[in-house]
Amino acid sequence: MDERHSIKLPAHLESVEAAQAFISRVAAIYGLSDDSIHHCNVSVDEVITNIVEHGYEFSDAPDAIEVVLVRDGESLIIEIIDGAPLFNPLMHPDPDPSLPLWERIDNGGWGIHFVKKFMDSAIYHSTGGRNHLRMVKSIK
Amino acid sequence: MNIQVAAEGNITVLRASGRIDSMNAPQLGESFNEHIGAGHIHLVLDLSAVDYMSSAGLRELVNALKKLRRVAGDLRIAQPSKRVREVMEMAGLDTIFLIFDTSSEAVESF
Repeated sequence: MDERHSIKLPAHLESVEAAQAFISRVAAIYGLSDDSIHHCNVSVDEVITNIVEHGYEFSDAPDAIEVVLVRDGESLIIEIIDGAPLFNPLMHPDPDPSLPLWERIDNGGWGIHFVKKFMDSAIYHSTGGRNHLRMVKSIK
Repeated sequence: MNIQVAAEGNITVLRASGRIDSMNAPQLGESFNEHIGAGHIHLVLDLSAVDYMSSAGLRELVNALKKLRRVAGDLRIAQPSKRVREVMEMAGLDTIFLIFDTSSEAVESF
């Protein structure tokens, strides 16, 4: 049986820590390791920061961003839903970690790069005019 | 995040504590800029008390490093935690920054 938890937050950078506290609490209940919880928290930080800074460019609406956690067997599903203009962050070109300093340009992408590395999977879809980014982390 | 500053000869040690994320990374960047503007171009960032860093923090590190190396200076990293080192390695920054186990070693390396 799925167990679902959710929190709604405004599109402010302060919401990152609120989302992380929520995730830490629920993930610990489900037995994720400290390292796995940290990986989830970094991923959520990066996603929410992008939504706040680039999606909404900040919004006071209390339900601008929803973070949904669902336990699905041996996996924790983290879905981040927002109403900013539709945009799939997973389509951003992956930055190259092998680039030397002087070839690095600041065009972003590192946050999503971390999401792809830290989470077991990340999938984007849009439904009802809202962005959904669904990330999965194994409970181990 | 709190940043304490200490001068060791002509080396400036910035000791950050807490977390470095999108909320406060600009503060770190401003601190770097302030020191660079004052001619302090040999900087050590002591991360021993930093338990969390996101890509926003890494961006400020890279931006500062570029500015410093253009003027023959450097930003060297001391004692990153396992988690901070992990994101640095994931971004390939462990091959770009000189990283030391202690602040003393970082200072002595200049």
